[in-house]
Amino acid sequence: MGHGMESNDRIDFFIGSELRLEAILSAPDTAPLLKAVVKAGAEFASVADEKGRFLWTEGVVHNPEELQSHTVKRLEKGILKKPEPLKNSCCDKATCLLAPLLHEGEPIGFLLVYILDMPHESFLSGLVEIALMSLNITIKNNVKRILTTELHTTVVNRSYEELLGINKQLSASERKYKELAETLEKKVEERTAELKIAHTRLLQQEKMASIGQLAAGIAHEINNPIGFIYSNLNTFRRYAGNLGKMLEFYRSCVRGLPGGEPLLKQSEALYRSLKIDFIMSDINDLVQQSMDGSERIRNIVADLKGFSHIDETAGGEIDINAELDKTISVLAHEVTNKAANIIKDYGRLPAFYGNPDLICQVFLNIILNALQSKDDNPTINIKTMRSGNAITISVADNGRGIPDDVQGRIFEPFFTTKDVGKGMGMGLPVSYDIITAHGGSIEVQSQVGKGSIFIITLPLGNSGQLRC
Amino acid sequence: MIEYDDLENKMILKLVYYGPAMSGKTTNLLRLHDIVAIEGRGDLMMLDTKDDRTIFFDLLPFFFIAPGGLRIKVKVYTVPGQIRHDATRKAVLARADGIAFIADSQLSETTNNFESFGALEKNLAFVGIDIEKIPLVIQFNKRDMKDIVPEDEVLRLWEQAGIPVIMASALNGSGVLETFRCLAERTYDYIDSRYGLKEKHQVTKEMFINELTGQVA
Repeated sequence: MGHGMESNDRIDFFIGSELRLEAILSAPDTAPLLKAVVKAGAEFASVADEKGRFLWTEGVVHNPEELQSHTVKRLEKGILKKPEPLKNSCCDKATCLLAPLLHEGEPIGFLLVYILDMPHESFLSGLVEIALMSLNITIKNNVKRILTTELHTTVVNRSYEELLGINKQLSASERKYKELAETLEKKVEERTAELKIAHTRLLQQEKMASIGQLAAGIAHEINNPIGFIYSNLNTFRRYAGNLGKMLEFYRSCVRGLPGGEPLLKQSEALYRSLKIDFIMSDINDLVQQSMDGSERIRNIVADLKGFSHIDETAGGEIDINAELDKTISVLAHEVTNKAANIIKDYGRLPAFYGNPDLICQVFLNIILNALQSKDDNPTINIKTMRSGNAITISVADNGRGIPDDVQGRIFEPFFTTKDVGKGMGMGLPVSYDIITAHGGSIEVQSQVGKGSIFIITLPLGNSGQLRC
Repeated sequence: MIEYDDLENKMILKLVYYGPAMSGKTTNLLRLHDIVAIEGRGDLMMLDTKDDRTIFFDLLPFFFIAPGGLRIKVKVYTVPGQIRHDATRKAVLARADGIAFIADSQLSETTNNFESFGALEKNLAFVGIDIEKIPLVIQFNKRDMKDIVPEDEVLRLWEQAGIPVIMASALNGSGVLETFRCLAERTYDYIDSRYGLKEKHQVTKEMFINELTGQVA
């Protein structure tokens, strides 16, 4: 048994390699036997290796070196299969016996016993036979132990190594799957968030589009009746004038009529009771007021139509200041209700390339929030300016402000501090998306109790790079 | 080959009895030990067994010296048949010079025979031995049992592959020596061509077989 020299790495172990005597036997194995042999009457006893070199000895002999060389010489001559007397020149009277120790049928060592005084003729051969048997049994048992131990250890080690290898592989794959699972979760979260945003943006756009369509439809329907109301009012004012002139003519005729005293009295009484004087002067006012009202309706409808941008394509040049004005007029009702003070500070701006529909939506969201930031008399400063290669639009209010713990969340979809039904928490997230899609940024600075300012920065010169 | 030492003038060969569990590999060596009672045959070494099942291996060694002085040792091993001892089987198969596949003739064992033979092919490849080249004989053991695969069927199936098939009943001792002799002959042919047993060491096939079987082939 041993370690082979095969080129194949996997075959590092095979059964059957040769064992030398020194590997099988040890001094503690042989010493008691050799001692017993000497005790029984032998002068000298030794266990030698396959070449006859003494490994372990017991007792005293006159010239051990010579005995050694005789043994080696005998073995060089040829194989020794059975116990055989060894010629020696140490002492004529002495008898010496050399016997093979067998392992796998092969002599791998020798037992040498040297005796001076033999009690009887077969004493030495008997003694050698006993010792030989003991040694051979020891060899056999030791070999068995060596083989089983080595094989067992090797198999166990190999199994252990295999297990370690398998364990390593399993750990690696577990780690891999864990990482995969972790990143997967993260990726799914990211994708879900993206989808959610895209979905809400789509929803909002659809909502705005349908509002726009509705507004355009209503505007069209209102425009016609308003048109003829206005023109009819105009005509009516002219007719009323003519009727007044005709009435005055009749009145002067009655005054100059001979003998018409009673008729004059009667007609003047009716004229007074019917308050014709007042009517004549009020008709003008009423018509004027109605015409003003019609004019206002016409303006509102025009604004609605402009805000919905129903007739515009996705991208185009935008006059930011004009869009802000449009937004404010759409919110006129809210401005009046709150008695808001809107201070405009518009700078000279170049045209911005983008989606006017979406940009207007952002202004609407932000100005509406500003209006709602205070219950009465909010003051809103709207400022636009060109700074470098960008346009900044700031909307500042003097409202209640945004608490610090909420500031980080205001751009999250569906986050709202408004009462149920007042807001769905989509205004700022959608605005954020729209501004980001235009390559710009939207920031907020706020102090509780003092107010908030939203600053929108839109880069110039990114025409055609609209990412929405 | 376990060892070939030109300087030491020594050659150590390895023959392996392979086969499924309980097919009679150890019994083959026990009978062989009894039949071949010659001087150069060592004792049969049976390593620890559990419930009469081999868990390590058995070893029957032969030793003789050729006229030219070459000391030849032939170690005949069995492998443990149980599936769990595959690592040991590989260690025993490594460096083998010849293989006797001991099959169980019982009909119920047909699948086990095929599986074990498949494992032998795989294990030989694992230890770098070409099954097409290594001396191989097949013994169908337990011919004394009932419900066994008929001989003509066995021969038809296995001799196609050009592998000698020997019918045996190791328990009674029949076919044991024939199997061993057949394997020894094939191994001699295999070794002789590569190591010049006859040319260089004056070991004839007759001598080789005689030394291993104690009989003239």
